[in-house]
Amino acid sequence: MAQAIGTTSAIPQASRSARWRALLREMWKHRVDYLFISPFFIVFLVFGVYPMLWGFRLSLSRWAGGQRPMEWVGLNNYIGLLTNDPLLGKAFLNTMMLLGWILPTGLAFALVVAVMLNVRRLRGRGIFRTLYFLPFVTSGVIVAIVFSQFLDKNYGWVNLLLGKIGIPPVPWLVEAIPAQISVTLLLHWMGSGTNILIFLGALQAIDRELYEAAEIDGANAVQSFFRITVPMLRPVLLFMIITATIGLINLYAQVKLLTNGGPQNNTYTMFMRMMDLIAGNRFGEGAALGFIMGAIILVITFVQLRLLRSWWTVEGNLKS
Amino acid sequence: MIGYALLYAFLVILAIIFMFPFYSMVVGSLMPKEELFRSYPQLWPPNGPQLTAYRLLLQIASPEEVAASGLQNISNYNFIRYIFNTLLIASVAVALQVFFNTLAGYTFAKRHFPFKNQLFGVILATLLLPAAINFVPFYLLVAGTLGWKDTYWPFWIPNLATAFGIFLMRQFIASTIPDELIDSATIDGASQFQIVTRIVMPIMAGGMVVLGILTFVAVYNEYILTNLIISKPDLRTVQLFLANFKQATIRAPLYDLLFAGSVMATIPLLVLFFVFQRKLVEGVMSGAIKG
Amino acid sequence: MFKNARPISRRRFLQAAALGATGALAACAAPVAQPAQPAQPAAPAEAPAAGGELTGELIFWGHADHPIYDAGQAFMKKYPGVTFTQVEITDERTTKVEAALAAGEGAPDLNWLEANEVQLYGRRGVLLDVTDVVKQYEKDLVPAKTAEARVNGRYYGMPGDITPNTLWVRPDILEKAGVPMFEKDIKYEDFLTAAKTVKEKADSSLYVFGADGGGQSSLMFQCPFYALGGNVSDESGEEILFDQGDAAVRAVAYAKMAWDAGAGLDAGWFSPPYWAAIKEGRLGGTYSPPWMRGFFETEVKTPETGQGKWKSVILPIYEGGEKHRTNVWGGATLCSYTQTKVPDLVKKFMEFTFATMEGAQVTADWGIVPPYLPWLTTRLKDVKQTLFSDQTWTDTLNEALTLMREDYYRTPAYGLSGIAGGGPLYDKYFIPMMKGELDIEAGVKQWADDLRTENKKLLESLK
Repeated sequence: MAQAIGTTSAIPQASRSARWRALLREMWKHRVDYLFISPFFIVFLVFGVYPMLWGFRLSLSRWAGGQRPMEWVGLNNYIGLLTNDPLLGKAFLNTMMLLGWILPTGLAFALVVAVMLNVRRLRGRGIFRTLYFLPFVTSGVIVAIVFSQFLDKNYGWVNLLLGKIGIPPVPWLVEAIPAQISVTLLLHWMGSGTNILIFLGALQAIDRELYEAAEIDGANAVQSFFRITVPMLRPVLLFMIITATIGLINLYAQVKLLTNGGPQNNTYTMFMRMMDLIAGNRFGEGAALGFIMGAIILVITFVQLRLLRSWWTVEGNLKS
Repeated sequence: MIGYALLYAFLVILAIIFMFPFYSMVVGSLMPKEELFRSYPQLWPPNGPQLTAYRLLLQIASPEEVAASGLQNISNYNFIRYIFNTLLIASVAVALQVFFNTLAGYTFAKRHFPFKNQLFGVILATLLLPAAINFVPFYLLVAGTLGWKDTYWPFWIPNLATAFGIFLMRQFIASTIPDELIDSATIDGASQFQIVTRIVMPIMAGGMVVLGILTFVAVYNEYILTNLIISKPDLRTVQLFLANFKQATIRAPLYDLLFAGSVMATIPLLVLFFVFQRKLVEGVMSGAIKG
Repeated sequence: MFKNARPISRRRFLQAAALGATGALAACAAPVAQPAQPAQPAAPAEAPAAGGELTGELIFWGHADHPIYDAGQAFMKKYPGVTFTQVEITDERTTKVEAALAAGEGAPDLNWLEANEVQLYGRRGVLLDVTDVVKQYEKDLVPAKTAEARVNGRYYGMPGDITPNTLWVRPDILEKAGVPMFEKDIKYEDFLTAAKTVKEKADSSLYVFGADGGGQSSLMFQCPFYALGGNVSDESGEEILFDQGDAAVRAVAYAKMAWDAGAGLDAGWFSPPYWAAIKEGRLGGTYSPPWMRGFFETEVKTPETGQGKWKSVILPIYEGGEKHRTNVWGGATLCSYTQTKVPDLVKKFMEFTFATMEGAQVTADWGIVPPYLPWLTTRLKDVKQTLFSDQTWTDTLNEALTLMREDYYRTPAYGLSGIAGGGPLYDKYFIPMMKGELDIEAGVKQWADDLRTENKKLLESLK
């Protein structure tokens, strides 16, 4: 993945030892830079590496928990999961399907709303922003309770309103596709606050003069959106795509609350499978599934970074 | 003009949709538990709003109300204290994370040094692993080796700087601050630290607010780690406290208290957001960049 | 209602108890010396030591609103030298327990574990062996419950809530539909016919059957499965018996009859629409464990919403399952961990809570059904609950106690199967069979095969 990120700094070609010396000199020259990034690496070394190695060791072991020793089983946990698990296939498909539903619609929606909130002459901006922020701070438990009330097939507001315009009751949390749509709506409702906030943070920094110049050139709002806003936001969009992908492949809490994986496992995600394995005392396989999910995320983000390589910095975008 | 009317119509409808569950929570908190759930959720308490649940949580309820609450031991709890604890944890976490993440984000966005990309790759890679089982070694380390059980260090130190925060700040800075600005400051003899604190941080105030709010809300609402680390009643956070009301095994969920507690827990977040959102006004930094 | 239903006689109860004891003796190599005292009035076990002698601290993970918390308060009153500390926990309790187990310290001295959890943790060897205490009272405890605390002949917990399931009905709603209140021994088929009439005429359901089939809906399967002698696994938990015999297939078919009747309450268990239905009289009946009463009562506070209007009867008859017309659902066991620093105090507390009249009374006042026979035979009849307003409930409970099976094993495999209210394997097969998308015999077979795969891996992890 590292190769996908920009260019490496130039190191003069010379004899091996000279090159090393030059590299060390170069590094010493940048000691302040290393100091600035060091906090992450220090805490990661202390608090991240050990648990990760422990988890990796566990994924290659059988372990009964407590203070029992881990027993080495090689790749058996991985092989067992990939070849002989009654639920993982379904969980994988569901996770990918939810990713496909949620990622594009969620980001597009949040971007459009953020841009609308950023319209210069908008009155009551602060109120709108605060209202859109509400879902983000509302407790997930309560959101799930309220949603299950609204989406109830027989006595929910949503079906009542749909009935008023002649649409027959939708089995929201009962059938496969409606349940996936329900989860999508729930996640949009809960997640858009964050996404809108990040987009607003990025939009606030775009130089207004760019828009004024475009206006003078006769560009309308839609043209400005695609010629200035989107290119300027590309680094942030890239960030959102990658972190949202990671978040969605690890989708758990919201679905657990709303559908608990149902109906008939149609919203049962990989993370839920992992939690079930752990709860069922199969710690080794739970850890292995964690690493399998990490590998899936790695592949997907690698492809995303390859495809969107030019989005890494903003400079290139405005020139093109 | 029609454009604006449509814009407002859209924003208002959206606002209603976005508000509704929150509104339901507030309405729900104003009625007794036995009125709370009816077919077709209620839009207003049928017997008028009642503040019983709030009084119970704030320890100012009458003995009759306590007797009827289904939670005789309510006086063992100290809701205000839990809110205070949570605010303390979240504020320190935000201060540390915003500072260290901006520092690192700037360095990755604007500086060039050996192994930069490899190191950034490592940071991204740490985002990949869903570490559901790793709470065991983490607990052994934090509670065992370091002896941080029943302290707040585990919420602050391990997340001093985060992959998410560094990545976010890097992307913000990359899309906002022109290289020329940094270069000219360097030529003027500013140290790297001065560049960060005097140039980058003022320009990135909006971005830092975004990271700060995201961090604050995440820490404020966290309870799995809290549940692992905290056992002493006095150190409890508000989410840890509220999580008990939804319990569905041995005790009937106390939804009235859950709703009222959630409303009160949300208030500090809303105040915070309202205060800081001014930093998100579009284009204001234009002048600063040119400055 | 059972106009002629008599409270179970002490003689009959002790017969059952003696049978259970014999079974237990046969199962365990080391019989206990304590003789049964069938002719004596149930003698409350004496509190073991005089008050002041016990000292120490007991840490319990659970709610303040909890039978064990109440027992803790009573225990402190009795032994002022003891401190009972309750630590509030969330639904992430197991995470906290696992961390403490790995760390070798920090687990609670007292925890309230579900039957399949006792079996799992017992097999893992992390629970405190309390065989000496339980053996001492084996004959005074409901045998079906003691079996649940036993792993390979050793006891890893004090038997707790016995939770025999019954059918709860509201006669006023039946009346509205012109259906006579159930007399004794109603047939399942007749029950469904009545349910259809009530649904049609009074817009009310006599059972819960949500579209997800989880939670309380699963009782429509669990209860016939229990009555017909089904088992998920053998006692060792190693062999899956789910598809042996016809119990599972027949139980699914019985559940499908209820599904096809379309008269059930279509609401997710414990969801807001479920609570709404209870208060609005759209739930006129349900299969239910005793502990559910507390959940109803906190919602149902006025006669208009059903307070005092509920009655309870023995479950309907499934052909061939007359002997065991009940079921166990939920019902926890009081456990401790090997790492506890106060094992003796823990055992004293266990003894006090479920093997003395005092402790049993305290937990029963909270609302569970303690397993202590001397208490059950003399005091259960005095328990009154506002939801039921008279004693019928406890009469029925008394009868249901005699219908319990001692050969029903809630092993870790039982947890995996999901029949206790839903889970991925249950969800994978149950509703498709209800909808007719999957043939019942084939479905049960596949379900059992998946269960074998999963259980094998679980057992491997315990080696």
